[in-house]
Order: sequence, then structure tokens, then C-alpha cells
Amino acid sequence: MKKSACLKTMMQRLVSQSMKSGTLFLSLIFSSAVLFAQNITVRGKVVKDDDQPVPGASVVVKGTTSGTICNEAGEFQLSAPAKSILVITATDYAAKEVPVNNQNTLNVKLTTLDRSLGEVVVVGYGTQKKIDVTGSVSRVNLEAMGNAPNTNIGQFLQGTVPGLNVGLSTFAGGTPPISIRGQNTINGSQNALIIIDGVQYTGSLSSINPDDISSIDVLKDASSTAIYGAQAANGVILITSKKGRYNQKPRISFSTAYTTQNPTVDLRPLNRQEYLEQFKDAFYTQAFMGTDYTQPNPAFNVASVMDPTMVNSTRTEVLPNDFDWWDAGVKTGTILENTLSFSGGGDRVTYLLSGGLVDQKGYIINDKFKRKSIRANLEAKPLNWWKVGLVSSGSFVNQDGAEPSIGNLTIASPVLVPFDSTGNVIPFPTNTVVPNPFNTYYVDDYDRHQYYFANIYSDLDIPFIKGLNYRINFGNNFRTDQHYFASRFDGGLQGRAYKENQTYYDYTFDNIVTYTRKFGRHDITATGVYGAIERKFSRTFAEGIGFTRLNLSYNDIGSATTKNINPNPNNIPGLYAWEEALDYQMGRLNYKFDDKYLLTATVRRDGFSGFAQNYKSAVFPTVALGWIISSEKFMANVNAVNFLKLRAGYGVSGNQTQRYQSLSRVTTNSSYVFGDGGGTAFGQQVGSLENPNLKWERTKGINVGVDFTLLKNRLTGNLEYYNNNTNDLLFNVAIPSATGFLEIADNIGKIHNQGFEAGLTYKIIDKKNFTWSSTFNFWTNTNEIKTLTGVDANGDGIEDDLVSSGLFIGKSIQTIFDYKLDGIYQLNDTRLPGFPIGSNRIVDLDKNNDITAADRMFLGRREPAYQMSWYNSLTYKNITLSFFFNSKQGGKDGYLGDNTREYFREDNSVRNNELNEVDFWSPRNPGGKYPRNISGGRTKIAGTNWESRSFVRLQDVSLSYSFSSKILEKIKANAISIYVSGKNLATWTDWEGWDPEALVPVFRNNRTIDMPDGLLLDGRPALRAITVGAHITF
Amino acid sequence: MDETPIDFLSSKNAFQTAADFNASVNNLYRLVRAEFYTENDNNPMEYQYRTDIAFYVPAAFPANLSGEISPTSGIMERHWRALYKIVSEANTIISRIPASQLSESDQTLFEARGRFFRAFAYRALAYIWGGVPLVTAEVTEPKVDYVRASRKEVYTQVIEDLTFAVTNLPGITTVKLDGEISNLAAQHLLAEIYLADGQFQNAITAATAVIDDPATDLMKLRFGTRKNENPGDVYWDLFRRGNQNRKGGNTEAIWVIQIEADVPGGAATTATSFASGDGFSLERVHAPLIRDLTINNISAFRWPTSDYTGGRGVGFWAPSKWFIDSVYASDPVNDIRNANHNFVRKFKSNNPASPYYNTEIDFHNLPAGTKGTSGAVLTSGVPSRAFYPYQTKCTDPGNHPANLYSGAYPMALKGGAGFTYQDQYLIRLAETYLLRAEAYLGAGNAAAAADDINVVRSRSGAASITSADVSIDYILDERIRELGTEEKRLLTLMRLGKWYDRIVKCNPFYASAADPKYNLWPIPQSEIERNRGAKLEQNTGYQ
Repeated sequence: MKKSACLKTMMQRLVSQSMKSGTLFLSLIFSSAVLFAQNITVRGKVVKDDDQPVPGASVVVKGTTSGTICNEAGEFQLSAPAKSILVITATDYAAKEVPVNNQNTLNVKLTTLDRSLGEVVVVGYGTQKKIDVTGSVSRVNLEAMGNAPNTNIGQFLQGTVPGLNVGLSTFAGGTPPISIRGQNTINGSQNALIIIDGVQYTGSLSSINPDDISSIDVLKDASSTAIYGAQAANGVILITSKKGRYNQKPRISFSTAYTTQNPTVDLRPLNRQEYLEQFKDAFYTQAFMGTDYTQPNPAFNVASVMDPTMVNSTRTEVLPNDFDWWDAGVKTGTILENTLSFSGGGDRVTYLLSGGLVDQKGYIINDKFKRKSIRANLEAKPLNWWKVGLVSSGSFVNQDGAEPSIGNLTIASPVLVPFDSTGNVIPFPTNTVVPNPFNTYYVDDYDRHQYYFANIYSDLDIPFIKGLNYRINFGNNFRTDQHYFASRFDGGLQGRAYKENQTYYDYTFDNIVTYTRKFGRHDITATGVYGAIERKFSRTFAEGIGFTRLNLSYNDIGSATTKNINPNPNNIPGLYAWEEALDYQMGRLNYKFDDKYLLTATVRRDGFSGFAQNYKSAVFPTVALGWIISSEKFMANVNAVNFLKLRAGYGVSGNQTQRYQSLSRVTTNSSYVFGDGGGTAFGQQVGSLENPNLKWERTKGINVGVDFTLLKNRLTGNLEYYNNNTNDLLFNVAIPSATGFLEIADNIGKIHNQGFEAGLTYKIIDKKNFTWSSTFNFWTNTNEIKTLTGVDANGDGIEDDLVSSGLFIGKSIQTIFDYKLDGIYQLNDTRLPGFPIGSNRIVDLDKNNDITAADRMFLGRREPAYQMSWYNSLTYKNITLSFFFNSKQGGKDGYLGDNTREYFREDNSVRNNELNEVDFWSPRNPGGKYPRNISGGRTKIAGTNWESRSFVRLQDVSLSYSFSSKILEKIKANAISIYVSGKNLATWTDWEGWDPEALVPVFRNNRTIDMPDGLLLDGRPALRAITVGAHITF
Repeated sequence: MDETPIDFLSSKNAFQTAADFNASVNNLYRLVRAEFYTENDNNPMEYQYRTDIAFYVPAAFPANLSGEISPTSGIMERHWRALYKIVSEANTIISRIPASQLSESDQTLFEARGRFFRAFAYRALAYIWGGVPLVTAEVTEPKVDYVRASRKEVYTQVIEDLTFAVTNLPGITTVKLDGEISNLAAQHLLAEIYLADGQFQNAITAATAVIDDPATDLMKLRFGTRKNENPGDVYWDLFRRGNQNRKGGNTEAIWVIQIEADVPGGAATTATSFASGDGFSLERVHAPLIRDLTINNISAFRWPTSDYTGGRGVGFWAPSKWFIDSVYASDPVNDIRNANHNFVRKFKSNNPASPYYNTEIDFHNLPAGTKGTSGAVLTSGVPSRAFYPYQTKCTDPGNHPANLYSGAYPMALKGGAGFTYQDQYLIRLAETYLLRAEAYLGAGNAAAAADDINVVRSRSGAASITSADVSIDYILDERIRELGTEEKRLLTLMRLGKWYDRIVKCNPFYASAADPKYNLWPIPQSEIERNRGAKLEQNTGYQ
């Protein structure tokens, strides 16, 4: 385009658009100022620091839309009023304003901006330039992890943002646990609030196609999160999906990747020989002789002590099998991912359509995850000042198939086989109720989840009132889940089938008014929000037990002899239906003075149906200040500093109560059957005490941060310090069971969290053909309980701890108060009463020759002391290598996990197999670490092995090659890259077992709890993955 | 912003009508059944383990009593909580009556029911722990400063509640449903609590009201579903499936805990395994693990089989030698309670592969080469996991629910068997006689005591005794003979303060570890810590 044609073209376009849209009149008034003022022709050149030209820079007359674009040499020419100001902007450079002052030639030098500061970040109910942000907001570097086999966006977050704590999931497609900064709640929700395209998201992150995500921003401090009020105390994660752009040529993008996965450690059950050998330890009093049981007893025949199912009929020979159950239940996991998207836009419409396909087959057979995802993001501009749009996605997840129980694979005896000689599965190989893990191959398991999301919005730049925008979001989440199951082995081999259907719906209706105005050196953005959310859940569970035939599988539940519909033996409220509603108002003022001084102030009011009767609404205020020091005159000559901002914020955010928590709940059950042949008599039971004064938790926090770019833009970084106090903690306070209840939901005490976060990126090498950039993140948090109930019942002048809840004033929430272990009781040791040979020796603190509750002590904490990550990206010509280390460290006594194992000989354990790496004590292994108790009596107090989980992990490595433009031109492609990447390639840790970081859900004492993934019999492998893939864009 | 739950009730609207109160009462039956019968494999059996009649076979010798009966032991905690939950739900019923829409007569009826269950739970609490916190009204806000009432005060409360129940509960023939509590059940408990409180004359009066009621009588002739089968007798008939409720013609039952297979609320599934806890595991726990018995390395038994080998026993709950031999020594032959079909000591081999097929293997006279679990050589007359005498009360030979047969061979059971499927006597008239005998003895009337004991003995064909024979130990032995595996033995021994004496006398498995302090259990440590507003004193000897 010719330079002189620039303005003309723009004006023509403006007029034609105005005519079409019926705003000709407006445009005429608007543009007449330009047309009829005294114009002069201005020529010039735009260069950067090193005087090299900046092609493509935009030059616009301030206050108008007239302007031009610089050519390849950085030159421009336009017609502008003699007294006007030109605004020059270019990607990666700080915007500059230059007064024309009647000059015909203007040369402009732009300063390179740190990219991250030039970014626009999502701050909730709007966006803001990163340089103007006063709170603690971090953007996730999605590019860094782009080649990793992450089927769940939660995995992208692992270790990438200081202050964001993300774990590791061992399930196909699984969402890892995610939390932000320190734990500021005990019993309340610990989940970060997730917002997708402005709408609160309560579904599973596994439903989202990571390839559809354009950015993820994390709000960490109270001054940022408080705009989400009572739900925001655990931080906010804002996810923005990709969209088309106006006047963008059609773009077709295709990605494909194939991944294989295998365990990171070589943990396995014992083989036949090892299995038979360990019987000698389990029966050492028979297998060995002498007082120290180390002389083998030649008369000992292992067959005599084994289960009858594992020996011949005369019990003299062990069955000859050597079956590897583990090997038969696992195989190399695979992930196939394909995504395709189309995007683009014209004058009036933008579009992005995408489809994704993930087919993951986990390492455990039948741990499967298939996801089909579709997305349509459309926006139309019917009028120049009015945009309407749709952000929508559908996700169809298929997790059919029941995986064999890992615990049962692990404990299965290698002397037994799963199939009989005719190939039929043996349902209960040990003739007990422990099922054959491979029974699951012969059950019907239909496990589907459908997620639908649609946000319809209208975005109006109100005519006549410059700077006023009114936006409406109407976001809808709808989810349906089906889990259907039929097994002929269940129900005591009588057959069992069930159907479980769930539906969930929510809507968010937000009215957002924004007013942006700049006058003089004052820059104001005011935002007001009025919104409401309603959520509804419903579930039906129907089960049949006892089928004469199961030909019709779960579709014939009616023919069962016993039928259960919506049973609720555990009296869980809201198990089958619940609903809740929120309404809220929020006001925010962003004020900037002289492009140097920043102020943000917000106030939010929340009403929530789940709040208790006497506290139905809550108010959350914040204020934050920022100072861009580098813009001050006195910094003009400090060349080492390119950018420097100091900011401080104070805010209050909340953690809301769970629905129904404050009510006295009366649940129903099938109680009794009077008489012979009678029917069910239904009953009711009071499940909880009412608390009409139950309140949300309130976190008040200050955050001080500094953002900087130094050394000619080579070093960028930020430092954060925060200090949070959380009051009115939601807690189920333990009360005497003489009340009939074990606890009451209440607000107690105060928790203090303070922490430090640092993120630094340094361009180590920044040459034309070779770049090396390195990012180091570090974060630490200390947690301390300040007060609890405020009661000093024992009259010692100090407030009492809640010992029965494991909470202690002055300690971290995750402190460990337990018995200290001191090795294993050897054969001839003097033992305290209640402790058999081979059990854990517990330190008798009070030296009264008895282990009692008084012998517990503080052993450490479960949370890490600090976390670190280190990301490197090296590019040489077309080749990019990146690697990422992640680490959680416990310091002296932090990050401890329960890795308790005990061999207790009893009827069931003598049949069970074991993991190869568990070092059990026995007389011939006196240094063994874990107790082996063959006395038949339980130890008085078994003791817990608390072990360090600290680790350093080489989490991601990627090597990619981008095709050169020559090749691309030939095949008319825009960009092509191919890559190979690895995940979890190496982990350095002292932790024994599957993985130091992963948690696995295990069933203990009638409930499911998360345990560290150690030497558990039902632990799950963490997986090492190798991926090859390609990205192609046309 | 009002919150209205949609899948449960709130206590504000759950106590209005008779249907509401009935639902709460139904739940009390459930809670009692769970605590004493069906909660899981272990808890209900704790009322038998560590007593003079039973021991937990797989456990170490000597028994680890200091570990099992300690403030931190989960055993104490579970029973304490379960019993107080019964108190709490009963209190809620009583406290909600005034504000309800119940008719006047219903108000009295539900109060009587509430008080009955409250008394039932406090009776157990006071026997096991002595004085405990006395909570007699619904708790609506947290309270953390309980102190212990004296045992006497608890007894007084129980007496008051039961007296109200005796007056206001319907008679045993007027209750509408089988298994419902009646004024006679209350009278029986009243007699027992009077005994505990040393009020012997009142105990006699209360027991007499039960015994003299025209609707009650010991069963003396064969009856019920299997009355024509042999071997068998009236004592055997008492424990067959379908014979416990009055509708089946049983006049001896005072309070029968209802068990119904495969109906929600019936607490007896044939479908899921014993591990689910949805059933009464007495068969599984009490019958020996006969599977493991070999003679010359050949299994003598096919297991599990629905015959006199005990169904699907796993051999945890073995009778003490005292129970097996000593208590029957005076009259081993005539006493039908000691007949082999009631107390199996001779097991007929049912394995065609064994040379002993169809012959009886006698616990007291084992063939050479008999081995048990883990190949251990067995000794005649010494209980082991694989082999000990068991009472057929715990099962119903040849009469398991149809779903439980696997078809592998005649009478073969599925691996998921192991529950006891017949209704259970919580109170039976024979026990009322023995309570009255205890009361007469306490009141100094040994002759009347002997008469009552002889009523029970003569029904079983056992020789009569004279007043010279009567002592508290004799009555305890008679209770074993009549109520073995049926009564909650721990409660009886602790009520009498006889736990330590009887353990030392009758059960060598525990004797060397026994200590008089175990006459009362320790208050759970967790309860002491939860009660942070006041000190809940621990029982003597524990810390």
C-alpha cells in the first residue's frame, strides 16, 4: 500500500462502515474534525533502541482513528493537524506519543518492552495491561509446555507459576489437585475458583481440550481475588479460550501427537520364588530354629503353612504355577491426540471452530480416557459499537471399562492362576471374598460424561457516552453423567447391575458496566457488576442384586430379586439432589495518574443461599497501589533499569460455607423389617447439629510486589511477599460423642500464612541464530495457627489446642503430632506391654514403661517448606530444546508423608503377595525397617512411618524442529513443527514407593482418603511418557 | 437466598406427625441391631470376646489385653459412640414431643418408646464404664463440659425410664408388629437393672410380672418350621429360621431382633459378602474353619457346606474349655442343650475323598495325623482355629437361604456365605427366670432361686439342683448353658463386677493378662480430649 493512500483508505472504510451501520451522521461529526482542521503532511521514521527500523508500527493521530502503518524501512507519511499528537505503537515496544508541533518531519525511537509487561492480562470482569496491574497476577507460560502430553490443562500448571501448587494425577485424563499459596482453611474448600471466558466453571478440567486455550491467568493475592468475593480466598484461575480475530485470513491448524507411558519406578509384586521365600519370615518360628531363629529348619515345608488353595490335596507340594498377575494387568500406556481448528474473521464476524480427539489408554488395563471435544467461538459486530458473541464448547468423555483393582493385582499369589484350564475366569481364586482382579474384563462398564458450555454475550460501547461499555454474559454449564455397570461376579456371584444418572446445570448472568476515560494525566476505569448464579444437581441410582440371568446387562435391573433405589447408608446430604444460588454486586475503580501512579479499589457484596440463617450476605473490600518507578524522571538515566514497578495491595476475600452445612440435617434410611416376610420400615436420624451463625471464612491479606526488567531487557522478574490472616475458619469442631454427634460446623480461630515468591527470566544468549532463555521460580509459605477456640478449659493460662482434631496453636495446620518410632523390637529386646516382637518400638517419652497418648510429640509437617522450578528454552536456528525441572522440598522436617507398612500375620495376609521393595523386619533381617508382627495380636499402638517426600523431578523435556520458510512456501503452509518430548524422565527422592508427589485415593476405615503414593498395596504408578508430535498451520 | 434442602429433612420439620416419630423409632431399632449384631464382623462380637466363654483364636497368647482394653483402643471408642448415638436419638424423640402434632395418647406412647431405648443404652454404658455423663435431653448446641454421673445415678435414671416404659408400652400381645418392644421387655430390663442396683425385691417383682404374664411361657414341646426333623428337640427348634417371633407360636420370646434376608433394612443380604457388614456374622465368626482340618494330609471336610460342619465358619470365636466341658460336667448326657446337634463336638466327615468319609471326627478324640490351620498338629480337646465345638444356634444346618447354595456338590455354599439368617433373641423368658433366680439369691431365698433355675433346666431335661447348689457362679454357669453365644456376656460379667474373677477361673487364654481394673473399661481417650470444657475422669488404673 502506498503511504499516501493510507489515510484515504482508512477514511473510506470508516465512511462505508458507518453508512452500512446507519451511523453516518456520527462518523461525519467525528471525522470532520480531522478533515477540516488545518492539516499538514508529516513524514518520519520509527526506529528502536539500536536505530534499526520498526516495520509495521502503527502511527495514529491521537483522539481519532486516522493513521497509517510504517513500511519495511520503518517510514511513514500522513496528513495530520498541525497541533495534534501522534501515537506510535508496535508490538513489543512501549507506546510513544509525539506532538506534531507544526513539524513536517518526525523521527521516533521506541523502547523495547518486556513482552510480559506489554501483555494484556485477564483480571476478572475485564482485562488490564500487565503494566497497570496492582495485584499479584501471573500468566501461565503455555508455550513452555506446549509439547508435553498433557491431556488435562491442570497438568500445564504443574510447577509453572510461583505460588501455584499443583500435584500429579496417576489416572488417565485425571485432574491433579490445584491450590494457590498456603493453606488458609482447615475444613473449608481448598479449591481455587476457576473462571472460563468470564463464567464460573464447576465441572472437571478433564473436559477441556488444552489446545483450545489461549491463556491462563492466576490471581493470587486478596486485592486481585476479592472481586470474586466469598469464593475467592483460595485464588482464582482465569482461563481464556482461543478466538478468531477481525480481518484475519483463514487459518487452519492441525496438531497430532502420540505418547507412550510406563512407570517411573521398578516396583512390582514378588515373583514365585520371592513369594515362597517370604513365608519363611512370616513363619519364622517354624522355618528357623535356635533362639535367634536364623538356623533354617530342614523339616519346614512351606506348603504346610500355605493356604489350601495354593497347595496340593495332601498339602505337601506347592502348586507349580508362576503367574505374573501384575504383568497381565498392565501394558504400556498410550495417548493419541489430534486437534484441528479453523479460525479467522472478516469486517463483521470472527470465528474459531475446533475439534479435538484424545484417546488415552492408561498403564493399568481399562484405565481409559477418550475425549471428543468441539468448540465454536463466534463474534459478530452488527453495529460498530455493538458486539454479540458466543463462546461454546461440548466435550464428550468416555471412560468405559472397569480397570482391575490394583490392590488385588498386587496381592494376588503367583502360585495361583486367574483362568482355569478351559480358559474361564476363576472368580474367587482363594475361595474367599477377594475377587479375581480380571473379573473386571467380563463386566459391562459404561462410564460417560458430557459437558456443554455456552456463554452468549452482548458487548455495547454505548454511543454518545464515550468510554462507557455495557456487557452482558449469560453463561451456561450443563453436564450429564452416566455410569452403568453390570457384573455377574458381584452380589455374591448372584449378579449385580446398576445405573447411575446425574445432571448438573448452572447459569451465570452478569451485567458489567465499564467506564474508561482519560482526561489530562488522569486515567480512570470504573467497573460495576451485578450478577447471579444458580446451580442445580440431581442424581438417580438404581441397583439390582440377584439375577437369574444377566443377558440384558444393566438395562434389565427390574428383573433382580433385590432392588435398591437411591440408598444412602452414610446419610450424606445432597447426595441425590441439591440446589444453590448466589447473587452479587461488585464495584471497581482503576485510577492511573501520569502513567506512573496506580490505584485499584474494589468492593464486592455476596449473597449465598448456603450461608447460615443469620449471615446471608458478606462484603469484601480491597485497595491496592502501584508506582511505576521507571517512568520517573530521576530514573531516566539509570540505564540498567528498563522497567520497575512497586505495588502493594490489601484485600479481604472469602471462602464460603458449603450448602446445607449450617442446618440440622435429618436423613432417611431403610431402617428395619418387622416380622417375617415384612417390608422395609423407613427411619430417620439426626445427622448434624444446626449452627445458624455459621459464616464464611474471611482472609485479609497484604501483598507487596515488585516487577522489573533489567539489563537491557535481558532480565525480567517479579518478587512477591504476602501476609494473610484468615479468621472465622470453617471447622468441624470435635465435640464429645455424648452429645450424639462427633462434630459441629463452626467458625473458629485464626490462621496466618506468609510467603515469598520469586520468578526470574534471563536471556542468557540472545543472538540471531541462537537464543537461550532460562526461568527460575521459587516459592515458600509458612503456615501457623494463631488461635483456635479461645478457650482455656484446663486453666493453665494458655489457650487449649484441639488435640483430638490434630490442631495446635503456634503450629502449622499440617503439623504431625504422633508417636516417635525408634526401630523395631528385636527378638530379645525388653518390650513395653502391648508390643509384640517385630512391632515398632515407640519412644516412651514420659518413661512410665507404657505407651499412652502422653507419648505423642511434634514430628514435623506434611506441607513442603519451599518449591522451585527451572525452565530452559534453547533455540538454534530452527531447533528448540526446552527442559523443565520441578521440585518440592521439606527442609528440616517438612513435606512428610505417611508411608506406613506392617506385616501382620493373620488369615488373609498369609495369602497375600507383597511389593518387592518393602523392607520388612524378620529375625534374619534385623535391620528391616517395617514391622512384621506374627504374634496374632495387634500391637497396642502400631505407629506411623513419616517419611520425607522431598523430590527434584525432570518433569518435561522437549526437542522441536520448525520447518524453514523456504519449505513452507513450497507447500503453502504457514508453520510446521515436529517434536519429541518426554515427561517425568527422572525423579530424585528418598521416598520409597510409587511417587513422592502423587496422592492416591484409598479406602480405609469405611471412607476414601488421599494417601501419598508410597509402598501402598493399592498405590498407582506415576508414569514416564515419551511423545512424538507435529503442529501444522496453513 | 433461603436455603431449602431437597433430598433430606431438617430437624425443624422432621418431628411433627406420628409417621415422623415412627421413623425415628424405626431407626432406634436399627441402631440397636447394628451395635449388638450387624455393624460388622467385630464390634458385636466384642460382647463375647475377652469373657469367660470365648476367646479370639487367631490372637496371640497370652492375650494383648493391655493393648485391646486401653483408652486409645478403637474398641472402646466404637461402642461408646454407638451407645451414645442411641441415647441421643431417643432424647430427640422425647424432647420433640411437646411441640409436635401428636395426639395425647401418641405422645405418651412415643415417650415410652424413647425412654425404653434410652434406658437400654444407658444400661450398657453403666455396666461397661460405671458412671457416665447423663444426658437426658436433645442436644441442640455444642456442649463440651460433661462430667460423669455416678453409676448409681445412671441406674436411677434407667429405672425411672423403664418404669415409665412398663406403664405405657403396649402388652406383648397387643403390639402390632413382630419385633416391637412391649411392657414385658421393659419389665425384664427393669428386673436386671434393679439387680445391678441391689434392689432385689423390686427385681423379683419385675421379673415375676414377665414370668406370670399369661402370654409368656417356656417352649416345652417341639414347634415351628422344622419340628418334624431329627435329630432335634425343643431347644434346637428355638433357634431355627422362622421360629423366633410370636407369630410362629413362640411364647418364650420377649424381644426379638429382626433379621430378614434381602430386603432393604433387613440387615441380611445373601448377595454381598460378610465384609459389607450388612448382616450378623455369628456363623462366620463362631463356626470353626473346618476347611483347614486334614487327617494324614487329606481334608476331612468340604467347605463351606450347609450341614453340621458349621456352614462357612472361619473360626475366630472359640468357646473356652470352661464353656465346652466344665459347665456340662455335672449332667452331660440328659441336658439337651449339650446334645451334639445343639453343641457340635463330633463332626461327620463330608468329603468323599477322605478315608474318614461319613464317620465322625470327635473333638475330644482326634484320629492320629489330624492337622489344622497352617499345618499345626492338633491335640484332642484343645480348641484350634480349624476345629472346636460350636453351637448350632449360629447357623441353620441345611436351611441356608436358597441363594447361598453354589451347586458345586450337595449342600455346598457360596464363598460369600457366613451370615446368620434367623431372627435373634435379645430377651428370652428363660433368661428372665435366671434373673429372678439371681434376685432371689440376692434376697436370701436360695430355695426360690433353685426353683427358677430348675424351671429352665427341666425344660432341657437336665437334672434338678437344690438350694445348696445355688451361687452366683452357678447362675453364671447356668446362663452359659442356656444362653451361650446368645447373651451379651460382657454386660452380665461387668454388671456383676465379676469379669476378673470369671476370667481367672474359666479362661486361661486371658487369665495371665487379666487385671481387676478390666472390670470396667477405660473411657475413650478421644472422648476425654473432645470434652475440653471439663475433665472427664478416667477409670481407675488406666491412663
